[in-house]
Amino acid sequence: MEFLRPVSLGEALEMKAARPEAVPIAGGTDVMVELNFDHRRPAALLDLTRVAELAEWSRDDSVVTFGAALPYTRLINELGTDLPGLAIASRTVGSPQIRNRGTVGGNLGAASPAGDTHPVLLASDAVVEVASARGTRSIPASEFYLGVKRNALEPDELITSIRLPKATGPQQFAKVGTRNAMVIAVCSFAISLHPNESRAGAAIGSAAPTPRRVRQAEDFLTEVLDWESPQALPDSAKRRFGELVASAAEPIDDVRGSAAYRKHALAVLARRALGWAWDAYREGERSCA
Amino acid sequence: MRVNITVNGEARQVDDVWPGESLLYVLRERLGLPGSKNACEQGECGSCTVYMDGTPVCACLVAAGQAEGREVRTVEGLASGDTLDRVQQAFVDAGAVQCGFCTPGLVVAAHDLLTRTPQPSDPEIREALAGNLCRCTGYEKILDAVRMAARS
Amino acid sequence: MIIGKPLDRVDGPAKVTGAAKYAADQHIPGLTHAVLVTSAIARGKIIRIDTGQAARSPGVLSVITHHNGPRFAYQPPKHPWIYGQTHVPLQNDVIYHSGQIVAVVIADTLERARYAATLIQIDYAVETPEISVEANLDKAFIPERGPFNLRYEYRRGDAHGALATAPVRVSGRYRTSMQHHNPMEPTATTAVWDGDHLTLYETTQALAFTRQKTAEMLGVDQKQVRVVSPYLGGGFGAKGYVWPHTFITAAIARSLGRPVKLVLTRAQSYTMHGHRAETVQELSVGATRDGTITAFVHSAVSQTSMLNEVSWEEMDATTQLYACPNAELTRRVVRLNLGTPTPMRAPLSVGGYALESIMDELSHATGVNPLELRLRNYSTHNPENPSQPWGTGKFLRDCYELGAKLFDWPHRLPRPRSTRRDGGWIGVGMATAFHPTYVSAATVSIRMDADGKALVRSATQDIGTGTYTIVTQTVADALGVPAKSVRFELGDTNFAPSAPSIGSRTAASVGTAAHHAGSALKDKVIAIAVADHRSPLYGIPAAQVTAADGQLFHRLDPRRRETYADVLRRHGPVDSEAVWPAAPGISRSYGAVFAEVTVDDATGEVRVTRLVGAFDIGRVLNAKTARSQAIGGMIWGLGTALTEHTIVDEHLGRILTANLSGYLVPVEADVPDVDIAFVDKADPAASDIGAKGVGELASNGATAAIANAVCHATGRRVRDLPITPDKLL
Repeated sequence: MEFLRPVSLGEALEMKAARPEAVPIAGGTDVMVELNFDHRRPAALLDLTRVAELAEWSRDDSVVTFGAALPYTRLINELGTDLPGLAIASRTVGSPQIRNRGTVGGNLGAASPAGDTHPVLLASDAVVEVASARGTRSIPASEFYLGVKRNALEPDELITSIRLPKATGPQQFAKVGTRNAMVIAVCSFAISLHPNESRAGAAIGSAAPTPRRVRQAEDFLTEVLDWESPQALPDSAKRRFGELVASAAEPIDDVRGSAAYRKHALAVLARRALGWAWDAYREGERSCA
Repeated sequence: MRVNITVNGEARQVDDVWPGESLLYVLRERLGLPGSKNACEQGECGSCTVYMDGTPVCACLVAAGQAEGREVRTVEGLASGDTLDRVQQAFVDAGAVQCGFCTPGLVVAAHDLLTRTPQPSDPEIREALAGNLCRCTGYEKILDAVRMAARS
Repeated sequence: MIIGKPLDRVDGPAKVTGAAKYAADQHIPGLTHAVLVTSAIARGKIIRIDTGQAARSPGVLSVITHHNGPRFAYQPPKHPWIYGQTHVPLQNDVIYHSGQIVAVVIADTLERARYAATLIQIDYAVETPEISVEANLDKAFIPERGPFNLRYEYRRGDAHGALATAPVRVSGRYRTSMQHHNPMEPTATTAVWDGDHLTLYETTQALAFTRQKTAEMLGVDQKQVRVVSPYLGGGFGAKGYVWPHTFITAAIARSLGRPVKLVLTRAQSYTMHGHRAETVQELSVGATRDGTITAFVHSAVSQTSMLNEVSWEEMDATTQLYACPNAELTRRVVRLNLGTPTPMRAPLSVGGYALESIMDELSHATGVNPLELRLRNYSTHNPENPSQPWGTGKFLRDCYELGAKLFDWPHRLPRPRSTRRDGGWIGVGMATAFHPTYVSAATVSIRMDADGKALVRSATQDIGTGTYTIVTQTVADALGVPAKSVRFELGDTNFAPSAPSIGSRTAASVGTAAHHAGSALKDKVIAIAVADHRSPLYGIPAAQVTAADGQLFHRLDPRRRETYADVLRRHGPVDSEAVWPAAPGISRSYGAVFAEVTVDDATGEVRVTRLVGAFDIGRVLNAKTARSQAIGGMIWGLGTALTEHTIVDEHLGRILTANLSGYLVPVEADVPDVDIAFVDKADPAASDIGAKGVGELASNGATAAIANAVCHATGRRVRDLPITPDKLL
């Protein structure tokens, strides 16, 4: 096995072009487990922790762009105000030690249906920036996940950064687990309110072969939410929203939970998260007024 | 391959490292520092927690080559001579040590918490130590130890 | 007195600095590394195993399969006692369970051994495995009792008749899960041969077992085997008996002529050294309307393996805890294509959960407060032998009282599903804890040198419970010297043979032997002093001389005194040794556990918010280590109640949760406020120092207390552990 240590993005892309079989490694929270368990033994590892560009971030008035290898801890501390939904989800990833190393780029690269940040990326209209020696591509999160642990990356491409609009309204993320920490999601849900577009984004995780947006539920919110003069949401609307979210799920029975429980829990999470987000929006509107 | 790491303040050169091996393996098997424990190899238990460039990480999830040129501090590097660090002393005083296998990782994680947050609340302690499993299971005494160390 | 004081662990500094050397931490020159290859199928035969590529892989020294596997001098008997299992891998082509050892690769580095292991190609003839207890209930049978004398059947009075005529009858069908011990320290063996002498650096709860059985398998004398285990990173039963990986590693090291190290991966630990068996239990209780119990009928079925018939989950609480004239207990097993079960911390907790759940159900049926119901059926005499009073062996009433007070247990319990806080249902529950504790022969030797320092040795173990510390305290007290004058070494079969650390026996057994050895040494030194005309104590009757703080002095004239060191400087070192007990013994420990939970009624998530335990463990030897054990035990009960279960693929027979992300043990953030009280009354019948065991006892009670609290919170009785959220919806 070879250990490749690029120090710039350009060098990393050249190496990846020359050695498409090289496995990118940043926080190691997925790749090292596979190596430790001898589940795979790639011909080469491509270490991205020395590529400074990949751990930087920038923002303008409306958009935040952060490097694929920015650890969760820094994302939470440095970008939590602009990206509250992503910060909430990031805080539920593993343990402090894991968050000190793990990255959103890694979450995307692994494309596990249970990855915690996926639903937020979907609900918040994130765009995944990828690059190769051939050039760059922007892939909307909604087109990035292709199947269980499969994504839209070409063999010579690397995920370079993630671009999201700054939050313009409340965002929420919730997941169900059987203990209070260190939990792989039984199921998860994210919602981002976009008041400037009079709509909301919503997505689910750990409930289908890929993380997915719940469009019918989003459309329902477009119908029922009055953004101009926001009223308290009736329970019936929250319940209907929960049902629509659950109906978009195609979960399986596995060791973490049954399909039936996942559907039930998703409806609950969706109902609650919508309630929290909408109440926060109403609160914000009132205090602005 | 060759890897150069500063471990507990000492520059170390390690040869014949297999690129897929972890920092934990290098510490335990090549550098004679078995204090960091190997218990799950997947970052679930925290027994191998060490500082790398001042940040606590699971050494089992760091590829050896990623530690090149970095500063690593292990449980063996916390005490100064025979004087225990205040976190180590508090673990002894509070009775937070049982079988001791999770202890090295917990001591490093708690040490880091108190460095960042000198007076942590109980929820902050619980959250900070959530990645360190203790099967004996001495969580309540470990909580006591961190509170005690924060006061000392 | 130093005994009873919360002396800091004497092994604490070594453990917090990383200096303590565990089995896998030994540095051995010329070491080679073994990696196990395990069966991918659960039942069938190996029809082809191709090791060619592996054998040619760089660094590989040997590849072992059933074709060239080590042949042993002995075949473990069909009852798994001391031997963990009967089956010896690598002897033939038959597969009994998934994860069975089918090949071993030895290489010069771990990485090369691991890689070569992936190159071995195996073809199997697959048969359909038996995996389910429920699907095989019609094949359940009562096993033979075996050398450990496990009890599978018991009856007194006319249990069925009394049940049929009881004014109140409650029945429940309870299920408990397959569970794994998961000590933090992975199991490890390093075998080093020097000529025909073997040294094993071993993760073991029982040095003597490892020595005896490894020697037996290898056909060498026990004296040729030395087992070393100064520190153990937890065991909980997984490291209690002797399992094949140990003697296989030793045999390979012998034939290879090189030291061999084997460290099991976390995944392998799920199939290499046993597990707690899954059970299905039917339990009925009959009572009068005021809650006086008249009958118990308890029938349990648990899993066993294809080659062993055993169930460690004794259910004596049903027949021994409460006063009840009629009782029947039947325990049967079904054979499955899974490994052989082994004891896991507190085997009686499995039946105890069912018993304490049905007590709660009886409380609901009769309207008698759960605590009052237990007091109403309190036994002062052994229900199995009414002429035998419990006497100093039982202070359970004190436990109920202490625990209820600490918890503020309500005299009038609110109706189930009637209390809400922060959007969740609140409930409280309680349960009795009950577990036998044992003593068996321990030898402790002491040498005191001219400096007055005592070196104490015993071939016992400190599995995390505090043996190092309590023996130090006990010897210091017996000698009348400060604890710092005593140094205790354990974990080496070169020391005097001692008790295994299973069945909560170490503290009482080794502690008492240490007490006697210390007293004997003190008496010897006093005898020397009073016979020595150079001593200020010369001529005083020995009985009038005592010791404190390192000084020997005349009871009536304390000015006549000298130090141990003074005597020994003149006389030279003094040795003593004591063995205790002469015969193995059993006693019982008791406790009462109280729990409060919050249940999210929409998601079914349960959070334990408070746990209180009050325990009768005889005399408390060290308040700090005992407290840690008690709290730890209760958290085990929490894991059993809410999160822990080993899940097996029903078609393939593979364990799906063979890691710490799939098998959920409690984390720091799960742990509620915990409070503990000890009765702290000596039980001289249990041991000469009045101590009993605590480790297993404390993992009883909490599971049922939490389950009962969940029922109180939600109005739903889940009789299937663990109580995962889906079961509450």
